[in-house]
Amino acid sequence: MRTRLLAIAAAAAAAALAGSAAMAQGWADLPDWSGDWTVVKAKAADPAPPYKPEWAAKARANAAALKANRSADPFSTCGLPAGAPRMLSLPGVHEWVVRPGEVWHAVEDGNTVQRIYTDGRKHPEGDDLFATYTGDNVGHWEGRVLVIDTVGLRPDTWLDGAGAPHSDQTHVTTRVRKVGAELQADIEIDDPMAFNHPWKLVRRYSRLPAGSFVHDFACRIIRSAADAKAAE
Amino acid sequence: MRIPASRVWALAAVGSLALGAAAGAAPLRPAESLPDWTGVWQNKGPPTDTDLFDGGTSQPRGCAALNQPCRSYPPYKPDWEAKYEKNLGMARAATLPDPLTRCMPRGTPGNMRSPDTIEFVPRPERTWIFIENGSQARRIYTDGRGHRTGKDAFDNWTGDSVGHWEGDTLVVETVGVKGDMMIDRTGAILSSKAKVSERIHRRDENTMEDDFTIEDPVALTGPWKVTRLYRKVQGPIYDYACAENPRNKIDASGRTLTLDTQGRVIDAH
Repeated sequence: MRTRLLAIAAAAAAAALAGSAAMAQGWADLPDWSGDWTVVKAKAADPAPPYKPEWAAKARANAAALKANRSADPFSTCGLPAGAPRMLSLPGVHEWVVRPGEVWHAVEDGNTVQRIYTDGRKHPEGDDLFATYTGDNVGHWEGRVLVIDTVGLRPDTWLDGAGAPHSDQTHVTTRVRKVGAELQADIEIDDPMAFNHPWKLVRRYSRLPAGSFVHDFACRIIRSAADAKAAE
Repeated sequence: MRIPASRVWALAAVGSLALGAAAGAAPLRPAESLPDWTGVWQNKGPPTDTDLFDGGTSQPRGCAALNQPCRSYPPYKPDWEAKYEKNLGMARAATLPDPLTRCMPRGTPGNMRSPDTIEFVPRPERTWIFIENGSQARRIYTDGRGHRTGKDAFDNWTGDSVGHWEGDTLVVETVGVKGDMMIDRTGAILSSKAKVSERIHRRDENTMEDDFTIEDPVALTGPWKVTRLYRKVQGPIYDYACAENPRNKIDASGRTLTLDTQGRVIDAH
């Protein structure tokens, strides 16, 4: 009986392997990024975004309005999702759900989910490529490095909490890999409208202790309370 | 020796069971053996989402849930039946303050009745259920952990879900869901003591099945059994934010005002 069960299990495993082999990669080729990750505070400040003059002026205006309390970070007021690529920098827990054919980057803050298709598909074209918060993400594996190509980003999100604007031509290339015990994302934000040259950022993530979990909360609670007060 | 439920799937692999028990760690199901749940799924049911979470057990089958005489579930205790009747009254009058309409999360199990698409994403240590509407993410821990205790055990929207595999069926137990949340657009509610058990499996090529047993010693007289089906659909999965619908006050010129976290207008001219 035991032999038969093992044989069935082996056959099933072989079938599963054969199925995934048809894709670009199988489970055995994928790195172990399981667990809960959180952004490591960087020692050095980020380089300034390489804005063209008119976009530098927009960035200054955003920052000034923010400082004068004349506007609010659209993300911090629970209004709009952070979107990509800012989601890579959010506090709280990050998960990298790695499977053959697709990777999900799930961020606790804002319940943001970035779907990265690694099944060989291309970005959609024409009307099928419309701007969203997390954009259209296709990826491929270079060994154990996930290379993510992101386009189709809404221009009304900010690149950071200081009000850095971007256009709808933003193109982000992100390379995620394990460096020692940490995950590292090398982010290259290209925006031919706004930037003189790509803005390069690095984000590192450390793994939280085993048994950690993702808190489930709704930013909208605060907003609803605010709405209630505003209605008074 | 008590065998944690998480190891039930592995009974055929006797060697790894013994090893896992000796190490004190739950052996994870090998990734290669996980069932194929890939793709994009969508609730089967009326697109209007106006029927009871448990449309399938209305009597007679298929009758409109808001049509009082045909309703026989949920099996509420009298005081909760009275609460539900109040909500049903509002639903019939189209005045139900459904949290989903105000961009609040639906919570478990109501999130499994969400409109739009759902993904079932198994990995050895966790299974995620990503729900487009919201967006919401359910995390079902299959690494052998129990429910949270002490300060970690607080009620939230999706609850605290742990699971184990029985063959290709994911058996899930969820507790710690906020009480008094409406789980559908008829206004059905459960208490914070509800325990939601689910058996999730792929019924056939084009169908995922989730069999619920909802127990609630506070609100219900007995178990409430619900089966929900999901049909395979073509993508894409849309990425949007419910809260992008402007709900803030507007000024005389029609401009939407920005509020701070205390509800004060911060960009009035």
